[in-house]
Amino acid sequence: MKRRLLSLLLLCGLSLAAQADPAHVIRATELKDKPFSDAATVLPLAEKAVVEVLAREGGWYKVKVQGKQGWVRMTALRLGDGSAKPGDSGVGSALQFLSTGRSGSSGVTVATGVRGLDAADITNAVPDAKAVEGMDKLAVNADEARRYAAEQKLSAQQIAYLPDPKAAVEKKQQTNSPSPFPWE
Amino acid sequence: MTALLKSLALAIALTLSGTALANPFGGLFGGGGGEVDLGRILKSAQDAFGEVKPEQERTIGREAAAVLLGAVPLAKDQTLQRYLNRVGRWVALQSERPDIEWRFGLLDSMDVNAFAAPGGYVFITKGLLLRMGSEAELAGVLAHEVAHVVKKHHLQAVQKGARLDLAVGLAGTRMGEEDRAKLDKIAGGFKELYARGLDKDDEHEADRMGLVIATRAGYDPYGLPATLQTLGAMNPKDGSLAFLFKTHPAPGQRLDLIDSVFAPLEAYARQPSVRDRFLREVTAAQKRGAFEDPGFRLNAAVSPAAARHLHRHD
Repeated sequence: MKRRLLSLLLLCGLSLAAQADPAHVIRATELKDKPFSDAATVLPLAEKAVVEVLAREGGWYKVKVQGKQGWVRMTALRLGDGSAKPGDSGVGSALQFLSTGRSGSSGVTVATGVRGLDAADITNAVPDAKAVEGMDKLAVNADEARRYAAEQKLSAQQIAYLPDPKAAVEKKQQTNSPSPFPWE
Repeated sequence: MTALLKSLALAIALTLSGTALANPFGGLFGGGGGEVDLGRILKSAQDAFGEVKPEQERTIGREAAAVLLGAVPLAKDQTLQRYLNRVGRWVALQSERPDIEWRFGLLDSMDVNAFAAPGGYVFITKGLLLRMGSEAELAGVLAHEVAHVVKKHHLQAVQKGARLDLAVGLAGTRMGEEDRAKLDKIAGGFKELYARGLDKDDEHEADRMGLVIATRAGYDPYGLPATLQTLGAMNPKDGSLAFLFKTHPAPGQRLDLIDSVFAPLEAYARQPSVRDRFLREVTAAQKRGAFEDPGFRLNAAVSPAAARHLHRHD
Protein backbone atom coordinates (compact mmCIF):
# COMPACT_ATOMS: atom_id res chain seq x y z
CA MET A 1 0.00 0.00 0.00
CA LYS A 2 2.74 2.33 0.98
CA ARG A 3 4.69 1.37 -2.10
CA ARG A 4 1.66 2.01 -4.26
CA LEU A 5 1.19 5.43 -2.83
CA LEU A 6 4.83 6.12 -3.56
CA SER A 7 4.57 5.09 -7.20
CA LEU A 8 1.45 7.20 -7.56
CA LEU A 9 3.42 10.13 -6.26
CA LEU A 10 6.22 9.30 -8.65
CA LEU A 11 3.80 9.25 -11.58
CA CYS A 12 2.31 12.59 -10.60
CA GLY A 13 5.84 13.86 -10.45
CA LEU A 14 6.63 12.80 -13.99
CA SER A 15 4.07 15.19 -15.38
CA LEU A 16 5.80 18.05 -13.62
CA ALA A 17 9.19 17.14 -15.01
CA ALA A 18 9.10 19.89 -17.59
CA GLN A 19 8.92 22.61 -14.96
CA ALA A 20 12.03 24.42 -13.87
CA ASP A 21 13.15 26.59 -11.00
CA PRO A 22 12.59 30.28 -11.38
CA ALA A 23 15.48 32.61 -10.64
CA HIS A 24 15.78 36.37 -10.84
CA VAL A 25 18.60 38.53 -12.14
CA ILE A 26 20.13 40.62 -9.34
CA ARG A 27 22.41 42.70 -11.55
CA ALA A 28 22.32 43.33 -15.28
CA THR A 29 24.08 40.51 -17.09
CA GLU A 30 24.16 38.58 -20.37
CA LEU A 31 22.75 35.28 -21.54
CA LYS A 32 25.72 33.45 -23.11
CA ASP A 33 25.53 30.59 -25.56
CA LYS A 34 28.20 28.66 -23.63
CA PRO A 35 29.28 28.67 -19.97
CA PHE A 36 32.28 30.98 -20.52
CA SER A 37 32.57 34.72 -20.09
CA ASP A 38 34.03 35.13 -23.59
CA ALA A 39 31.25 33.12 -25.25
CA ALA A 40 28.83 34.86 -27.62
CA THR A 41 26.03 36.86 -26.03
CA VAL A 42 22.53 35.63 -26.81
CA LEU A 43 20.60 38.33 -24.96
CA PRO A 44 21.26 41.08 -22.49
CA LEU A 45 19.38 40.51 -19.22
CA ALA A 46 18.15 43.38 -17.08
CA GLU A 47 18.01 43.43 -13.31
CA LYS A 48 14.89 41.71 -11.92
CA ALA A 49 14.34 39.67 -15.09
CA VAL A 50 12.98 36.22 -14.23
CA VAL A 51 14.52 33.16 -15.88
CA GLU A 52 14.04 29.40 -15.56
CA VAL A 53 17.03 27.45 -14.28
CA LEU A 54 17.55 24.07 -15.95
CA ALA A 55 20.95 22.98 -14.63
CA ARG A 56 24.17 24.14 -13.01
CA GLU A 57 27.68 23.71 -14.32
CA GLY A 58 30.37 25.18 -12.11
CA GLY A 59 29.60 28.86 -11.66
CA TRP A 60 27.03 28.91 -14.46
CA TYR A 61 23.33 28.19 -14.57
CA LYS A 62 21.78 26.88 -17.77
CA VAL A 63 18.60 28.91 -18.16
CA LYS A 64 15.64 29.49 -20.42
CA VAL A 65 14.37 33.03 -20.93
CA GLN A 66 12.22 34.63 -23.61
CA GLY A 67 12.14 31.33 -25.48
CA LYS A 68 15.93 31.13 -25.66
CA GLN A 69 18.36 28.87 -23.83
CA GLY A 70 21.79 29.83 -22.68
CA TRP A 71 24.08 30.30 -19.70
CA VAL A 72 24.13 32.95 -16.98
CA ARG A 73 26.71 33.43 -14.26
CA MET A 74 25.50 32.10 -10.92
CA THR A 75 26.62 35.30 -9.22
CA ALA A 76 24.19 37.38 -11.29
CA LEU A 77 21.21 35.25 -10.26
CA ARG A 78 19.37 34.35 -7.13
CA LEU A 79 17.18 31.28 -7.15
CA GLY A 80 13.51 32.04 -6.55
CA ASP A 81 11.47 34.61 -8.43
CA GLY A 82 12.31 37.25 -5.87
CA SER A 83 9.14 36.79 -3.85
CA ALA A 84 9.19 33.63 -1.79
CA LYS A 85 5.62 32.49 -1.28
CA PRO A 86 4.22 30.44 1.55
CA GLY A 87 4.37 26.80 0.59
CA ASP A 88 7.63 27.09 -1.33
CA SER A 89 9.89 24.64 0.28
CA GLY A 90 13.17 24.77 -1.48
CA VAL A 91 14.62 23.73 -4.76
CA GLY A 92 17.50 21.66 -5.92
CA SER A 93 17.20 18.70 -3.59
CA ALA A 94 19.42 15.70 -4.07
CA LEU A 95 16.71 13.61 -5.59
CA GLN A 96 15.69 16.25 -8.07
CA PHE A 97 19.13 16.37 -9.62
CA LEU A 98 19.14 12.66 -10.27
CA SER A 99 20.22 11.49 -13.68
CA THR A 100 19.22 14.68 -15.45
CA GLY A 101 21.31 17.04 -13.44
CA ARG A 102 18.55 19.58 -13.58
CA SER A 103 17.04 21.14 -10.56
CA GLY A 104 13.42 20.41 -9.92
CA SER A 105 10.45 22.63 -9.57
CA SER A 106 9.68 22.53 -5.92
CA GLY A 107 11.32 20.51 -3.29
CA VAL A 108 10.92 18.46 -0.24
CA THR A 109 7.67 18.72 1.59
CA VAL A 110 8.11 18.77 5.28
CA ALA A 111 4.87 18.27 7.08
CA THR A 112 4.29 19.10 10.69
CA GLY A 113 5.15 16.39 13.16
CA VAL A 114 8.60 15.84 11.69
CA ARG A 115 11.47 15.80 14.12
CA GLY A 116 12.62 19.38 14.13
CA LEU A 117 15.59 20.94 15.79
CA ASP A 118 15.29 24.36 17.35
CA ALA A 119 16.79 26.41 20.14
CA ALA A 120 14.45 24.89 22.72
CA ASP A 121 15.54 21.35 21.79
CA ILE A 122 19.12 22.38 22.44
CA THR A 123 18.38 24.22 25.65
CA ASN A 124 16.44 21.25 27.02
CA ALA A 125 18.90 18.63 25.79
CA VAL A 126 20.29 16.05 28.16
CA PRO A 127 23.88 15.60 26.90
CA ASP A 128 24.33 12.16 25.34
CA ALA A 129 27.98 11.23 25.86
CA LYS A 130 27.42 7.63 24.74
CA ALA A 131 26.21 8.79 21.34
CA VAL A 132 29.38 10.85 20.92
CA GLU A 133 31.51 7.82 21.76
CA GLY A 134 29.55 5.85 19.19
CA MET A 135 30.85 8.16 16.46
CA ASP A 136 34.33 6.70 16.89
CA LYS A 137 33.46 3.50 15.12
CA LEU A 138 32.35 5.42 12.03
CA ALA A 139 35.51 7.48 11.85
CA VAL A 140 37.57 7.35 8.67
CA ASN A 141 41.35 7.54 8.71
CA ALA A 142 43.39 9.74 6.39
CA ASP A 143 44.45 6.92 4.05
CA GLU A 144 40.91 5.71 3.58
CA ALA A 145 39.77 9.29 2.90
CA ARG A 146 42.51 9.73 0.28
CA ARG A 147 41.60 6.47 -1.40
CA TYR A 148 37.94 7.42 -1.54
CA ALA A 149 38.78 10.84 -3.01
CA ALA A 150 41.05 9.28 -5.62
CA GLU A 151 38.14 7.12 -6.82
CA GLN A 152 36.58 10.29 -8.19
CA LYS A 153 39.91 11.77 -9.32
CA LEU A 154 39.75 14.49 -6.70
CA SER A 155 43.24 15.92 -6.40
CA ALA A 156 44.41 18.20 -3.62
CA GLN A 157 45.36 21.77 -4.51
CA GLN A 158 47.35 24.37 -2.65
CA ILE A 159 45.26 27.52 -2.46
CA ALA A 160 45.60 30.51 -0.14
CA TYR A 161 42.63 31.70 1.91
CA LEU A 162 40.62 34.63 0.60
CA PRO A 163 41.10 38.01 2.28
CA ASP A 164 38.38 39.53 4.47
CA PRO A 165 36.79 42.24 2.29
CA LYS A 166 35.90 44.22 5.40
CA ALA A 167 39.51 44.27 6.58
CA ALA A 168 40.58 45.35 3.10
CA VAL A 169 38.10 48.24 3.16
CA GLU A 170 39.23 49.35 6.60
CA LYS A 171 42.85 49.23 5.51
CA LYS A 172 42.02 51.22 2.41
CA GLN A 173 40.20 53.82 4.45
CA GLN A 174 43.18 54.14 6.72
CA THR A 175 45.59 54.72 3.85
CA ASN A 176 43.27 56.56 1.49
CA SER A 177 41.73 59.11 3.77
CA PRO A 178 44.37 61.72 4.46
CA SER A 179 41.81 64.30 5.47
CA PRO A 180 38.67 64.00 7.57
CA PHE A 181 37.27 67.07 5.76
CA PRO A 182 35.31 66.10 2.67
CA TRP A 183 35.65 69.54 1.03
CA GLU A 184 39.39 69.29 0.84
CA MET B 1 56.45 42.74 31.19
CA THR B 2 58.08 39.86 33.00
CA ALA B 3 57.09 41.46 36.28
CA LEU B 4 53.50 41.59 35.12
CA LEU B 5 53.49 37.91 34.23
CA LYS B 6 55.01 37.08 37.56
CA SER B 7 52.41 38.96 39.54
CA LEU B 8 49.69 37.41 37.43
CA ALA B 9 50.99 33.93 38.18
CA LEU B 10 51.22 34.84 41.84
CA ALA B 11 47.64 36.09 41.84
CA ILE B 12 46.47 32.83 40.32
CA ALA B 13 48.41 30.73 42.78
CA LEU B 14 47.05 32.72 45.71
CA THR B 15 43.48 32.57 44.53
CA LEU B 16 43.66 28.89 43.74
CA SER B 17 44.95 28.06 47.18
CA GLY B 18 42.28 30.22 48.79
CA THR B 19 38.90 30.26 47.13
CA ALA B 20 39.28 26.99 45.30
CA LEU B 21 39.88 24.91 48.37
CA ALA B 22 37.13 26.56 50.34
CA ASN B 23 34.51 26.13 47.68
CA PRO B 24 35.63 24.02 44.76
CA PHE B 25 32.88 24.88 42.27
CA GLY B 26 30.64 27.63 43.53
CA GLY B 27 33.51 29.96 44.22
CA LEU B 28 35.34 29.16 41.08
CA PHE B 29 32.45 29.52 38.72
CA GLY B 30 30.35 31.99 40.59
CA GLY B 31 32.89 34.75 40.74
CA GLY B 32 30.23 37.11 42.02
CA GLY B 33 30.02 39.49 44.94
CA GLY B 34 33.18 40.71 46.50
CA GLU B 35 35.21 37.62 45.69
CA VAL B 36 38.24 37.78 43.53
CA ASP B 37 37.12 37.07 39.97
CA LEU B 38 39.32 34.08 39.36
CA GLY B 39 37.74 33.43 35.99
CA ARG B 40 38.85 36.80 34.76
CA ILE B 41 42.36 36.32 36.05
CA LEU B 42 42.64 32.92 34.47
CA LYS B 43 41.31 34.32 31.24
CA SER B 44 44.10 36.87 31.13
CA ALA B 45 46.53 34.20 32.22
CA GLN B 46 45.43 32.12 29.30
CA ASP B 47 45.81 35.05 26.94
CA ALA B 48 49.29 35.57 28.32
CA PHE B 49 50.41 31.97 28.53
CA GLY B 50 48.91 30.54 25.39
CA GLU B 51 46.19 28.41 23.92
CA VAL B 52 43.83 25.80 25.25
CA LYS B 53 45.57 22.44 25.03
CA PRO B 54 44.28 20.05 22.34
CA GLU B 55 43.20 17.47 24.97
CA GLN B 56 41.22 20.13 26.81
CA GLU B 57 39.66 21.25 23.57
CA ARG B 58 38.67 17.65 22.88
CA THR B 59 37.07 17.25 26.31
CA ILE B 60 35.10 20.43 25.81
CA GLY B 61 34.16 19.43 22.27
CA ARG B 62 32.90 16.03 23.40
CA GLU B 63 30.56 17.71 25.85
CA ALA B 64 29.39 20.19 23.18
CA ALA B 65 28.75 17.31 20.77
CA ALA B 66 26.89 15.48 23.55
CA VAL B 67 24.58 18.49 23.87
CA LEU B 68 23.76 18.36 20.14
CA LEU B 69 23.21 14.61 20.17
CA GLY B 70 21.07 15.02 23.26
CA ALA B 71 18.85 17.38 21.25
CA VAL B 72 18.71 15.20 18.15
CA PRO B 73 20.12 11.69 17.65
CA LEU B 74 22.38 10.50 14.85
CA ALA B 75 20.64 9.03 11.81
CA LYS B 76 20.68 5.24 12.07
CA ASP B 77 21.91 4.57 8.54
CA GLN B 78 25.55 3.55 9.12
CA THR B 79 26.41 3.46 5.42
CA LEU B 80 25.36 7.06 4.98
CA GLN B 81 27.27 8.02 8.15
CA ARG B 82 30.33 6.32 6.70
CA TYR B 83 29.93 8.21 3.42
CA LEU B 84 29.76 11.49 5.31
CA ASN B 85 32.95 10.61 7.21
CA ARG B 86 34.80 9.66 4.05
CA VAL B 87 33.98 12.95 2.35
CA GLY B 88 34.41 14.96 5.53
CA ARG B 89 37.80 13.53 6.43
CA TRP B 90 39.12 14.21 2.94
CA VAL B 91 37.92 17.79 3.19
CA ALA B 92 39.38 18.22 6.69
CA LEU B 93 42.74 16.90 5.45
CA GLN B 94 43.00 20.11 3.40
CA SER B 95 42.70 22.28 6.51
CA GLU B 96 45.40 23.45 8.88
CA ARG B 97 44.39 20.73 11.35
CA PRO B 98 44.48 17.59 9.18
CA ASP B 99 45.44 15.21 11.97
CA ILE B 100 42.97 15.81 14.77
CA GLU B 101 40.31 13.15 15.32
CA TRP B 102 37.65 14.38 12.91
CA ARG B 103 34.18 12.96 13.45
CA PHE B 104 31.28 13.68 11.09
CA GLY B 105 27.70 12.92 12.00
CA LEU B 106 24.40 12.95 10.14
CA LEU B 107 21.66 14.23 12.44
CA ASP B 108 18.27 12.56 12.31
CA SER B 109 16.25 15.69 11.64
CA MET B 110 14.52 17.07 8.58
CA ASP B 111 15.32 20.59 9.74
CA VAL B 112 17.97 22.28 7.62
CA ASN B 113 21.12 22.90 9.64
CA ALA B 114 24.78 22.10 10.28
CA PHE B 115 26.96 22.44 13.38
CA ALA B 116 30.52 22.14 14.56
CA ALA B 117 31.96 21.48 18.01
CA PRO B 118 35.53 22.06 19.22
CA GLY B 119 38.13 19.39 18.65
CA GLY B 120 36.83 18.14 15.30
CA TYR B 121 33.10 17.34 15.53
CA VAL B 122 30.96 18.27 12.53
CA PHE B 123 27.23 17.64 12.09
CA ILE B 124 24.75 18.08 9.28
CA THR B 125 21.03 17.30 9.28
CA LYS B 126 19.28 14.94 6.87
CA GLY B 127 17.11 17.88 5.82
CA LEU B 128 20.15 19.81 4.61
CA LEU B 129 21.73 16.79 2.92
CA LEU B 130 18.53 16.19 0.95
CA ARG B 131 18.59 19.71 -0.41
CA MET B 132 22.01 19.31 -1.97
CA GLY B 133 22.63 18.21 -5.52
CA SER B 134 26.26 17.06 -5.49
CA GLU B 135 29.21 16.04 -3.35
CA ALA B 136 30.78 19.44 -4.07
CA GLU B 137 27.85 21.01 -2.19
CA LEU B 138 28.27 18.58 0.70
CA ALA B 139 32.03 19.26 0.74
CA GLY B 140 31.38 23.00 0.75
CA VAL B 141 29.07 22.83 3.78
CA LEU B 142 31.38 20.43 5.66
CA ALA B 143 34.35 22.70 4.84
CA HIS B 144 32.46 25.66 6.34
CA GLU B 145 32.05 23.68 9.58
CA VAL B 146 35.66 22.47 9.45
CA ALA B 147 36.70 26.14 9.26
CA HIS B 148 34.79 26.85 12.50
CA VAL B 149 36.83 24.11 14.18
CA VAL B 150 40.13 25.28 12.70
CA LYS B 151 39.51 28.86 13.83
CA LYS B 152 38.12 27.68 17.21
CA HIS B 153 35.14 29.98 16.80
CA HIS B 154 32.92 28.09 19.26
CA LEU B 155 35.61 27.76 21.88
CA GLN B 156 36.31 31.48 21.79
CA ALA B 157 32.63 32.40 21.78
CA VAL B 158 31.90 30.23 24.80
CA GLN B 159 34.87 31.58 26.69
CA LYS B 160 33.80 35.11 25.92
CA GLY B 161 30.08 34.66 26.49
CA ALA B 162 29.74 32.35 29.44
CA ARG B 163 33.05 32.92 31.19
CA LEU B 164 34.03 29.35 30.81
CA ASP B 165 37.64 30.35 31.04
CA LEU B 166 38.02 28.41 34.23
CA ALA B 167 36.34 25.29 32.96
CA VAL B 168 38.67 25.49 30.02
CA GLY B 169 41.63 26.06 32.27
CA LEU B 170 40.81 23.02 34.38
CA ALA B 171 39.34 20.64 31.82
CA GLY B 172 41.53 17.59 31.79
CA THR B 173 41.88 14.85 29.24
CA ARG B 174 39.80 12.35 31.15
CA MET B 175 36.93 13.79 33.07
CA GLY B 176 34.84 11.33 34.97
CA GLU B 177 31.58 11.71 36.80
CA GLU B 178 33.34 13.44 39.68
CA ASP B 179 33.89 16.29 37.23
CA ARG B 180 30.21 16.41 36.41
CA ALA B 181 29.84 19.93 37.72
CA LYS B 182 32.53 21.14 35.37
CA LEU B 183 31.07 19.23 32.43
CA ASP B 184 27.62 20.61 33.20
CA LYS B 185 29.04 24.10 33.15
CA ILE B 186 30.59 23.43 29.76
CA ALA B 187 27.34 21.91 28.47
CA GLY B 188 25.43 24.97 29.70
CA GLY B 189 27.77 27.31 27.87
CA PHE B 190 27.32 25.40 24.64
CA LYS B 191 23.55 25.21 24.96
CA GLU B 192 23.50 28.96 25.18
CA LEU B 193 25.90 29.30 22.25
CA TYR B 194 24.14 26.87 19.90
CA ALA B 195 20.78 28.45 20.70
CA ARG B 196 22.16 31.92 19.97
CA GLY B 197 24.61 31.16 17.15
CA LEU B 198 28.06 32.53 16.42
CA ASP B 199 28.88 36.11 15.48
CA LYS B 200 28.04 36.95 11.89
CA ASP B 201 31.70 37.72 11.19
CA ASP B 202 32.65 34.18 12.24
CA GLU B 203 30.06 32.81 9.81
CA HIS B 204 31.37 34.93 6.96
CA GLU B 205 34.93 33.91 7.77
CA ALA B 206 33.91 30.24 7.76
CA ASP B 207 32.27 30.80 4.36
CA ARG B 208 35.46 32.30 2.90
CA MET B 209 37.63 29.54 4.36
CA GLY B 210 35.15 26.79 3.53
CA LEU B 211 35.16 27.78 -0.15
CA VAL B 212 38.93 27.42 -0.21
CA ILE B 213 39.10 24.19 1.79
CA ALA B 214 36.54 22.47 -0.48
CA THR B 215 38.38 23.74 -3.56
CA ARG B 216 41.69 22.49 -2.13
CA ALA B 217 39.98 19.10 -1.84
CA GLY B 218 39.56 19.15 -5.62
CA TYR B 219 35.84 19.97 -5.78
CA ASP B 220 34.03 22.48 -7.93
CA PRO B 221 34.31 25.66 -5.81
CA TYR B 222 30.67 26.57 -6.39
CA GLY B 223 29.36 23.86 -4.05
CA LEU B 224 28.76 26.05 -0.99
CA PRO B 225 27.31 28.91 -3.09
CA ALA B 226 24.94 26.45 -4.79
CA THR B 227 23.61 25.28 -1.42
CA LEU B 228 23.22 28.88 -0.25
CA GLN B 229 21.31 29.61 -3.47
CA THR B 230 18.95 26.75 -2.67
CA LEU B 231 18.43 27.92 0.91
CA GLY B 232 17.92 31.50 -0.28
CA ALA B 233 15.13 30.37 -2.58
CA MET B 234 13.29 28.56 0.18
CA ASN B 235 10.44 30.27 1.90
CA PRO B 236 11.96 31.91 4.97
CA LYS B 237 8.78 31.05 6.83
CA ASP B 238 9.41 27.35 6.29
CA GLY B 239 9.68 25.94 9.79
CA SER B 240 12.58 23.70 8.88
CA LEU B 241 14.69 26.81 8.22
CA ALA B 242 13.70 28.92 11.20
CA PHE B 243 16.55 27.90 13.51
CA LEU B 244 19.21 28.16 10.79
CA PHE B 245 17.98 31.60 9.74
CA LYS B 246 17.86 32.77 13.34
CA THR B 247 21.49 31.83 13.93
CA HIS B 248 23.09 32.70 10.57
CA PRO B 249 23.25 35.72 8.25
CA ALA B 250 20.72 35.54 5.39
CA PRO B 251 21.84 33.34 2.47
CA GLY B 252 21.63 36.31 0.06
CA GLN B 253 23.95 38.35 2.22
CA ARG B 254 26.38 35.43 2.50
CA LEU B 255 26.31 35.02 -1.29
CA ASP B 256 27.00 38.73 -1.79
CA LEU B 257 30.08 38.55 0.42
CA ILE B 258 31.22 35.34 -1.26
CA ASP B 259 30.80 36.96 -4.69
CA SER B 260 32.99 39.87 -3.62
CA VAL B 261 36.00 37.65 -2.86
CA PHE B 262 35.46 34.65 -5.12
CA ALA B 263 37.62 35.65 -8.13
CA PRO B 264 40.80 33.66 -7.27
CA LEU B 265 38.77 30.42 -7.16
CA GLU B 266 37.33 30.91 -10.64
CA ALA B 267 40.44 29.17 -12.01
CA TYR B 268 39.22 25.93 -10.34
CA ALA B 269 35.67 26.08 -11.68
CA ARG B 270 36.28 23.03 -13.87
CA GLN B 271 36.99 20.76 -10.93
CA PRO B 272 34.43 17.94 -10.56
CA SER B 273 31.12 18.30 -8.70
CA VAL B 274 30.97 14.53 -8.10
CA ARG B 275 27.25 14.48 -8.64
CA ASP B 276 26.81 10.80 -9.50
CA ARG B 277 28.45 9.32 -6.44
CA PHE B 278 26.52 11.69 -4.19
CA LEU B 279 23.18 10.85 -5.77
CA ARG B 280 23.98 7.15 -5.75
CA GLU B 281 24.66 7.27 -2.01
CA VAL B 282 21.58 9.33 -1.24
CA THR B 283 19.16 7.26 -3.32
CA ALA B 284 20.59 4.01 -2.00
CA ALA B 285 19.95 5.36 1.50
CA GLN B 286 16.45 6.34 0.49
CA LYS B 287 15.79 2.79 -0.70
CA ARG B 288 16.98 1.50 2.65
CA GLY B 289 14.39 3.76 4.23
CA ALA B 290 16.83 6.26 5.70
CA PHE B 291 14.51 9.19 5.00
CA GLU B 292 11.22 7.62 6.03
CA ASP B 293 10.28 9.88 8.86
CA PRO B 294 6.80 10.09 10.26
CA GLY B 295 5.16 13.12 8.74
CA PHE B 296 7.76 13.45 6.03
CA ARG B 297 7.49 12.46 2.43
CA LEU B 298 9.25 13.35 -0.75
CA ASN B 299 6.58 15.13 -2.73
CA ALA B 300 5.56 14.73 -6.32
CA ALA B 301 7.76 17.49 -7.57
CA VAL B 302 10.81 15.77 -6.15
CA SER B 303 10.04 12.35 -7.44
CA PRO B 304 10.28 12.47 -11.26
CA ALA B 305 14.03 12.19 -11.12
CA ALA B 306 13.81 9.65 -8.33
CA ALA B 307 11.38 7.64 -10.41
CA ARG B 308 13.69 7.58 -13.40
CA HIS B 309 16.65 6.70 -11.24
CA LEU B 310 14.90 3.95 -9.36
CA HIS B 311 13.58 2.39 -12.58
CA ARG B 312 16.90 2.53 -14.30
CA HIS B 313 18.72 0.85 -11.47
CA ASP B 314 16.16 -1.66 -10.27
